[in-house]
Amino acid sequence: MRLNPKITEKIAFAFLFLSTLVIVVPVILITIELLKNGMSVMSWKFLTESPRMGMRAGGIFPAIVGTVYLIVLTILFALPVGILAAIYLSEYARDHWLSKIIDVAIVNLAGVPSVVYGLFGLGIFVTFLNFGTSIVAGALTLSIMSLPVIITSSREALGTIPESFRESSLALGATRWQTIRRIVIPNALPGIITGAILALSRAAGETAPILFTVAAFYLPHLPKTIFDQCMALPYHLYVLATQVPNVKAGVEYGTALVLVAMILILNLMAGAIRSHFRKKKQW
Amino acid sequence: MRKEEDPKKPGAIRVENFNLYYGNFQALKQVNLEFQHREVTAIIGPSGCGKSTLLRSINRMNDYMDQVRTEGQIYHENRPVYGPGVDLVEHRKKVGMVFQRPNPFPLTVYENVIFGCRLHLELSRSELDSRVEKSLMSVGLWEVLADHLDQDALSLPNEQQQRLCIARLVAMNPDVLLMDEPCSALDPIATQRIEELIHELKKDYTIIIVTHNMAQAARVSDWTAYFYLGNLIEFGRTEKIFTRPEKKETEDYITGRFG
Repeated sequence: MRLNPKITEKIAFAFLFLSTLVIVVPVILITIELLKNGMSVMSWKFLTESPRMGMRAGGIFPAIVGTVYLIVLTILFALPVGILAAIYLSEYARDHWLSKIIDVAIVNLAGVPSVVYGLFGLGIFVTFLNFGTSIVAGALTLSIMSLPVIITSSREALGTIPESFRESSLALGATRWQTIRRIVIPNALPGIITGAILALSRAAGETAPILFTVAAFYLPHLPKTIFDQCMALPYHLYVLATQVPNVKAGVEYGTALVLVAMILILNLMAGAIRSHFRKKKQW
Repeated sequence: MRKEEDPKKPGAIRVENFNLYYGNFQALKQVNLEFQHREVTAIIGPSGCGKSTLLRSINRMNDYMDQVRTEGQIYHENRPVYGPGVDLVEHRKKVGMVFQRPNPFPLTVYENVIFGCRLHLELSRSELDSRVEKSLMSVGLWEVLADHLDQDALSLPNEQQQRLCIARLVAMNPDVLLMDEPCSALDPIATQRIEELIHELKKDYTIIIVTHNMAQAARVSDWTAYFYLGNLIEFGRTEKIFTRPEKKETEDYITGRFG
């Protein structure tokens, strides 16, 4: 028996809509939960003071600073390398077995669990290169973790530049590099930046990669150089939740709220850049 | 106006025993052809006959495709185009290309015109300004765009975009213009006006135009080359090709019995 198309249409719509709800509902619940429980501790002092009384009181300032350091340094490491690699892969590399292997490697790197990156960072940056448990080691670990995503999204951005732009530039006697620098990069940059910010916002919230490479349980002072340890929001949250008994629930939620807010700001920046340039784009 | 034919004077572009392969597929077979100075040569033939491939071979745009292999030689003013020691940048400055779809850069009109000059020459602002004026003048855009040089080129109508693409070449003082179906994205009125422009431009440039449109070939060209399956079937004066072709295949194609 054939179902009436009007009925199948309704069923299809219902399933599609319900699936969408499944995605949206947790986001809303998390936001409400964080705001409800976290706003009680939110104050200028909470944001600008160090933790006191075994982290049960005071603020989370060192953790905020640590996370900002890590984000900035990760950008400095990962962005140039990621963009340059993406340019090589999409503009120069020819289609043969080596580039296929690189493709597979990048896809697989993106799927490696973050705790493995943490152990890798411990082995390479902390121990082998002797950076110790430090901001550099942590940022490099986060960079390595972000690179596959940055490279993939940058390649996609470069791929949206019409071939005809490259062709006419080359036909005017430009070299490949002149074509890339004058035509391809300026037009792909918004897409590249957007993708990179999204990758970094994910890295900013990671705990496992910084666990062994940089994060301090508690530090009475702020880091002075990038070879110092620092506190970081995700790890601080983990510590509050598992290592410190009798913490007021509000402190945990407040910390989570700050972390989520920072990531949200990054994502909004990415969205703003994208929509700003989409309006200008003509092709 | 008929020009004197001097059989001894070599053409601007000379193709000699030229073969081109895409992997195992041979797209051009032993092509021998000479393009005369300051005349328009039309390359016609059905899709896949190799006419665009030949055009792209002349300024080596096929270099960027994988698995392309060539044999034979193409000369521009008696200088070889293929082989070690060829300065591709110099060559492409002299031999410019106009593509099927107008493809100005997402830059202003001004920056589009001087894109090539900026790459190759150190010019002062006033020299650049005068190049822009001269180039736009020669493609009939100066009157329309003189006050809109800062406009985004992609916001122009198609015909003006295509003229701008020609101006972009003219600004570098080339001597050969290659045109790959330059009117295929244009409406009939714009097509007619571009054809008039081609007529104007041939006073200064050697023009080679690939076209699907036989009427267009008959209207704009002095010489016509008919290609089929990678072979040059017939080459000669346009009026002769279109009135008294020597080969049966040419006649069949031109009269629309096939293709």
